[in-house]
Amino acid sequence: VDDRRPAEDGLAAGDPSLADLLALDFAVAALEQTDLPGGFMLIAPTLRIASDAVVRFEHPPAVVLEPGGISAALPGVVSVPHGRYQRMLWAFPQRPSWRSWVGQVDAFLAPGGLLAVIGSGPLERPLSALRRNGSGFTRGAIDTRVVARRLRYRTITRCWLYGVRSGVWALLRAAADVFGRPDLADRYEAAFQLDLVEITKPIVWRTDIWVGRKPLDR
Amino acid sequence: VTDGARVDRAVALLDRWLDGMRGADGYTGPVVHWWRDSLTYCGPGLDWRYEGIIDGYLTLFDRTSDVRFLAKAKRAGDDLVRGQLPDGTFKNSSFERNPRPGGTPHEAAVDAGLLRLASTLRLAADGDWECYAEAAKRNVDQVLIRRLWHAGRFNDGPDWFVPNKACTIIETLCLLSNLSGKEDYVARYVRPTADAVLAHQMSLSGPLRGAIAQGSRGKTVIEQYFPYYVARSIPGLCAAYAAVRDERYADAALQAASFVMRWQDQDGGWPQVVYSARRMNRYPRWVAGAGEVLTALEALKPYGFSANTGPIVSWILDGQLPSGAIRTAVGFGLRVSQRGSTASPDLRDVLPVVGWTDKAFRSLARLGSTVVSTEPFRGGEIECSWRGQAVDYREDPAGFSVTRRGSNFYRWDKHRRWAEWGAGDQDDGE
Repeated sequence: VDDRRPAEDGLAAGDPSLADLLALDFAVAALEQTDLPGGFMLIAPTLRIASDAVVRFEHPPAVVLEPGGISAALPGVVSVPHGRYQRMLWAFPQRPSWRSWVGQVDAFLAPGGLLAVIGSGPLERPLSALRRNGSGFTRGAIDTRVVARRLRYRTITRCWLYGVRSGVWALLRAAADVFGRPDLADRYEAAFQLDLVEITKPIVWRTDIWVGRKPLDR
Repeated sequence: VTDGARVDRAVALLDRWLDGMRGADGYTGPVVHWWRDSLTYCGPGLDWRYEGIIDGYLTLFDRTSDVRFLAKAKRAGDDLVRGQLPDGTFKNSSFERNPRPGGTPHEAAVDAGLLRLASTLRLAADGDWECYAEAAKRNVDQVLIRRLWHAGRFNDGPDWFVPNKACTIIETLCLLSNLSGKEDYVARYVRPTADAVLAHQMSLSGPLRGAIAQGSRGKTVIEQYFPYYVARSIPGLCAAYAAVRDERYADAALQAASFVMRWQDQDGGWPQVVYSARRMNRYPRWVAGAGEVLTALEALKPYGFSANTGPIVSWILDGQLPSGAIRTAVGFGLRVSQRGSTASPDLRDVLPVVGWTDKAFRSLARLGSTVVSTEPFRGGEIECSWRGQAVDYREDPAGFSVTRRGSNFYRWDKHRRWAEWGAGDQDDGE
């Protein structure tokens, strides 16, 4: 696709931002790279998110939509979870409902299984307020640290997306657009994308991915 | 070494490298692009890479009569047929946005590859041609026409028109019309689409004359002029002229080629994008992708357009890596500043991408004489930079790896769908 859709704004509410899609990439990659037997389960707050996540899995996962727990009607996807799963992706747990889901997540995940959670960080709320169209998938999601604390799984890895530097580049890009300088806007967009993935833990961030392993004795 | 011998060797190395990039479901690898990159998903992509791969192997078969090349073109076609989804789209057809079906112009480009393969096979009385033609037709009918055709042109989104993509669709429709004998594909769709492309071409005299704007949203034209995308528009305009004999389309193709050649740099490459008011972002400059200019110039030969292609061929050949792939670009590291030295490459410059290398492959395949692939794979290590830090990039038969200060921070095994990044900071989740 060779049209540049701005990575963060200009999309209808609920559409994925580049950070959202990268987060899905990292989470699915972390789950698929382990050679655990058994299937995958996906919990997502909307059909759109589920759909963007499902195309990333090599084999169709069981899909559950939060918060109502309505199984997603996606073609070719197992939509009724049963038994236990070795790998699970909980994409963007929602603030109002995540507590009621934690127990089910723990119940569906097999001992020794991997859980990847994509959530939002401290930058999410101010960035959401700046954009009329919302902030993509991250809006309304909780911080992954809250889930990690509650479940007490062993942390395998964490990574962070969209820190302060990306925020500054995004502002500069928006300013260049306003002042009719698409050449500068393109440069700032490039810088934004390059800095989107934080190499080390930033002070603040918008999106993060936490991957944990459930203890074998639970 | 003569230029001909150099091209022959380059094509042989490209053929071998492409073979090494195949997985069970097709051609794989990371993607680097102007719009965004796909460095983590590296699995098969049924996108425009197949246009160049199929075309390149058909050209080699045509020139050498070596059935191994036809078999490779068919193998690529089989990937596409197997990877077509029930709704007519292709799996993972969105290149830099993979994994995702429904990519534009990628599915139209895939169709063009399938239709060229079907035409060759039908001429050779190979009954397999029908399955490839049927897959392309299904995509044209169910996706291109049903989903993208709106208000008299092929749109890329609500009210969003992209001329170079429309031109790829025109090429596909003309190929399908020729193969199927159904003139409706041309009569109903080609002329209005080509007219919409012409409405985006600069007709005023000046340095941008002949340039085709990148797109428009509603009535707002996006005044970005990419020489690469203008070149990609030319074969579609030529196909439109051949189909409906409207000289405006041939003239538009010639004007577009004049723009492209006017903006060529002395070293044979091009700046990335030109804006109005003579502004420009020169970097990154495509190397493997410059093959599309050769393909466009080839399409214009019957119209009497001549240009010195020597510097373009040298630009591409000088970019061949030890592995056989053609480097992707020059100057990715200068993308933000647009100034400085390109002596030390950015990782993205040298990270080879099947969906760019195919463009060099199909253009060079037309230029060589015979192809003999006997050399063993030679991997190699290249010193480059990533986000301002020195790194070493290495390709071996098993995959790509990037090390920083001696430790691995990126590794893609060729049989895996996902690349692995070095572990981020560990913490206790607090």
